[in-house]
Amino acid sequence: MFGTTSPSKQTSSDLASLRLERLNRLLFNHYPDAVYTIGMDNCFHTVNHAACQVLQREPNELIGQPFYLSIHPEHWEEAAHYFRAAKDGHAQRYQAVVRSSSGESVFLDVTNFPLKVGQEMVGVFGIAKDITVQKRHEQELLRTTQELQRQNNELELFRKMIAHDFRSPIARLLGLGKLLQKDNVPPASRQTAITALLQSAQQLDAMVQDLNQVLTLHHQGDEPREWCNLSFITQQCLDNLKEEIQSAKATITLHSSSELELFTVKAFLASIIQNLLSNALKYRSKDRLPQISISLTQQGQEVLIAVTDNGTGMDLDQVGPSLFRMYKRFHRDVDGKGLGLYLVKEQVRLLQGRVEVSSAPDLGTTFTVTLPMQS
Amino acid sequence: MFKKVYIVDDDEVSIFLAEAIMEAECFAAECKGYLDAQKALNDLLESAHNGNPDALPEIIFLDLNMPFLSGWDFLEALVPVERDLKDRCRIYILTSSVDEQERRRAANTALVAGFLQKPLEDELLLQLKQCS
Repeated sequence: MFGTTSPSKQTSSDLASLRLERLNRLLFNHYPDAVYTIGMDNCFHTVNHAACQVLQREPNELIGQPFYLSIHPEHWEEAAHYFRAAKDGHAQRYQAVVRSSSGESVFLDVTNFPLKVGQEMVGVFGIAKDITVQKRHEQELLRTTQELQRQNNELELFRKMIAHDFRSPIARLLGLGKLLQKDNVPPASRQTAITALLQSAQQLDAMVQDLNQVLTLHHQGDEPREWCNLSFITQQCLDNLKEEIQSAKATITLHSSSELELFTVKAFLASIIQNLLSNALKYRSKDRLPQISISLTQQGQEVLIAVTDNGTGMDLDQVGPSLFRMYKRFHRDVDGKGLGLYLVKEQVRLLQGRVEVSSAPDLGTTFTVTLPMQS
Repeated sequence: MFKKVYIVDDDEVSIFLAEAIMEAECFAAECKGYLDAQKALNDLLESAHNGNPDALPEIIFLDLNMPFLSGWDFLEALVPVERDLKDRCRIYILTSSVDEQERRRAANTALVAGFLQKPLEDELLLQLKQCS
């Protein structure tokens, strides 16, 4: 007889299918990763327990709702792209970020399969594994790697500094000493040599002190922060530079929109401002009296400290990225140790700020430091 | 004794030192110190282009670490006149650096006759005089 099976066989097959269906449902409900189906209308059709847990929602809050409402808005576009591909019949595996009802971001490793009945596409069947913990570890690792890379670069910088910059006054001291040992050196040269000897020793001493300061800076970073009044600190820096300002006959103007308070590392803030002011005085033009203007403004949650001078200026295309390097000098007439801008850059970095410079030869320079109100 | 020697160094004391020691050792009739590397380069290029070999110095002491125009830039700018300089003008790097990388780089640069470490020693000047 065609098309019939024995009654006993029918029962056992029903049982088997029943078991399989139950097994499937059990697996679906209790599987530790989110499992779901989404219809061609982009709405959740079924969601398991884990899916609800990830999104912190009840099943009825999800079923019938568009899936993309759960996706982090920044990831809408790529999620839509992968989803379309799955609907076109291609299995997809990708990473997505969803947002739970409390607004928390959850990283997911998503696998979506096209769901077909016969030849007809009816939707997408997917599994999403919560990889937030791994993702955080990955990001932390990346940060650590970047920090290590940065420290390595710095170490190389220190090596170069010792090989080049520290050797320079030492070589001079050696040379001057040997010259003074000779008995056929004219008195004028002898006098020059003695003066240069002392200067070189002083320079070496200053470099050792600078290096110590820089190395101390590197051990800081979790400095105690406190509320600092920006105008007050600027005024203190101006007081410290009183003699230099007077001898340069400089005019200083201070524009401050309001009483700006920063929650920051006081010593860094003072050092940044003082270094910028000291540079503005140092690189003054020979042809005109220095005019330095300081502007303190608030922009959103940030503070802008701009120091503008009418000094010698520089050609930034020529100077390029080495402007902020240690012991890099660009003016041979000025007794610069070349550490000031390096310190500014490092301290601004530690305070999560940024520093910009604009300049034109013989017109002047503006340094703008942007610092978060609370770092 | 050499007729003409150039010292190219952005550090005034280094130039003074080199000049003083050369004077004490009667090393050259004329020592010309250039604080500005670009000026030294212009003078050299001019002498080379004018086909005036007598205007070229017999020896150049060249510092490496200078702002704007480093010693390496200087050497690179001289490559086009390399043939004019050869046999007429020996270029010695005179640096305070103890960086091994720079020494190796100098060894691979055709125009460089030697790599000297500051300070310039009188024994060295004697050797240079002898091999002239």
